[in-house]
Amino acid sequence: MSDAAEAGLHRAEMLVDLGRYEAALEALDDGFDAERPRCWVVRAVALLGLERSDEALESAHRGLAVDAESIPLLHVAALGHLSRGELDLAEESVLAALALDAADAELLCLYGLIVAADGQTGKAERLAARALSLEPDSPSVRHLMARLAWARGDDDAAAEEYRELLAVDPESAAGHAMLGAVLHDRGDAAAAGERLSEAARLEPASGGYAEMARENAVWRHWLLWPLRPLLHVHGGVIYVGAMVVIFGLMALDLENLALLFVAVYVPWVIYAWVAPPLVRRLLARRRLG
Amino acid sequence: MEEPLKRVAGSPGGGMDDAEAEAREGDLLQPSVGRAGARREGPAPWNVSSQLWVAFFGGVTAVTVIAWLNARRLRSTPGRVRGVLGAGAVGLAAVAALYLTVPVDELTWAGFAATRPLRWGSRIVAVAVFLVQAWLQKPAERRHDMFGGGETASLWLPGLGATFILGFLQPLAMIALALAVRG
Repeated sequence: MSDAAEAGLHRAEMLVDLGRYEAALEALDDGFDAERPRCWVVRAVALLGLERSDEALESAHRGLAVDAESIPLLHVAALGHLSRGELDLAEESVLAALALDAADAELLCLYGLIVAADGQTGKAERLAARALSLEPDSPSVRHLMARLAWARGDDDAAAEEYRELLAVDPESAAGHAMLGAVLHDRGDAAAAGERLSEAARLEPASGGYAEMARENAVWRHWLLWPLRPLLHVHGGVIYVGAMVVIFGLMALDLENLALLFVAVYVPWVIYAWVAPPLVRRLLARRRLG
Repeated sequence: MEEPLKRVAGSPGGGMDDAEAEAREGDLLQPSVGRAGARREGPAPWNVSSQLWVAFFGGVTAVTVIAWLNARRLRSTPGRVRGVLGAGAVGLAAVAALYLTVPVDELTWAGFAATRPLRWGSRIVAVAVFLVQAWLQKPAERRHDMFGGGETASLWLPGLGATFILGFLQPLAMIALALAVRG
């Protein structure tokens, strides 16, 4: 490979690390060597980053035709198949990589994601535990453990794992965003807002984090304070509770109290329908203005 | 995404022989996805929260059918799928009991339409059943959100269908049952 091509490859690798995938593909075009697996790895990773899964997968498979035992290419192939929902092919690729290096925590985490997507959360937990024993400071391991904790309904454990992730990788936008989502689910809107804003600041190109931060800002607006119970309790529970109160008061011949309760509850329900979209429009206008 | 590149650059991926041997033991690194049905085929699940409207407007039967179909789409455990049906059965029994409290001469469609406690009572039971069925679907929904892509299908058509068809048939069936029981 010529010096210029080698420089192009090196530059492409740096650009992928920075998340500049389009620029990485352009840098790679200068002297792409189809016989060199490393070129295929960089191309495939950049395409995955741009969510062009089909092309990424093709690149990975073309690279594997050159070097069938390339762990990075098997890793990317597994990611590509996973993104397409082809769990059996993803498993095949990641197990081929693990056959070459069974003590790779990143591969174990990826396999955990694959089996979790298949509903095998028990096996995913065991894989995560194995990966944790190998690399306790790996952000990928902490991220997987947090996702598994949230999936099994253990919000406290999920929050703790995300805090561990952020202790290891404070610049992880995904970590801040997911911790913010967990805190929002627990009704702690203010703390959630800080985390979501930080995620949006760290990764401004990701529209998803900014959208989450905006939605959190809507629910922290003073106009929605009367609707705060909805952050903690499902609307259906409030409805059943209200009906029990109303019919209970009527059964006790306290019809005036029942009417008073209805006079408060019904407008509150209407407000819960009408207010959030209005606040969203209000905040959107302020951002544009 | 940087992990494969770091591996190419020569960063060590392990070298812990004991851990490697231990990882190879057991079925942890044996294929298991192929047995479960690998590709995520089949329709996307519906949003569980939206089933509240099916319960509110359509009643116990409507929401139970939708929740049962959704639990299967979410690949809930068999126990939780049975739980969804069980909650629906308990709800229907509660609604049937309500109908038995109504005077026989009001056990008609017109009577049903006029009997506010019966309609509201049925609705409260339906929403309570929804809350139980939503709780049963929650772990699978979270798993789908976190690991399955999180895509949901629109509940409009099936929801409206269940609401109108089963929401109409349920009171008729309950009236017929109450009349049969009362002789």
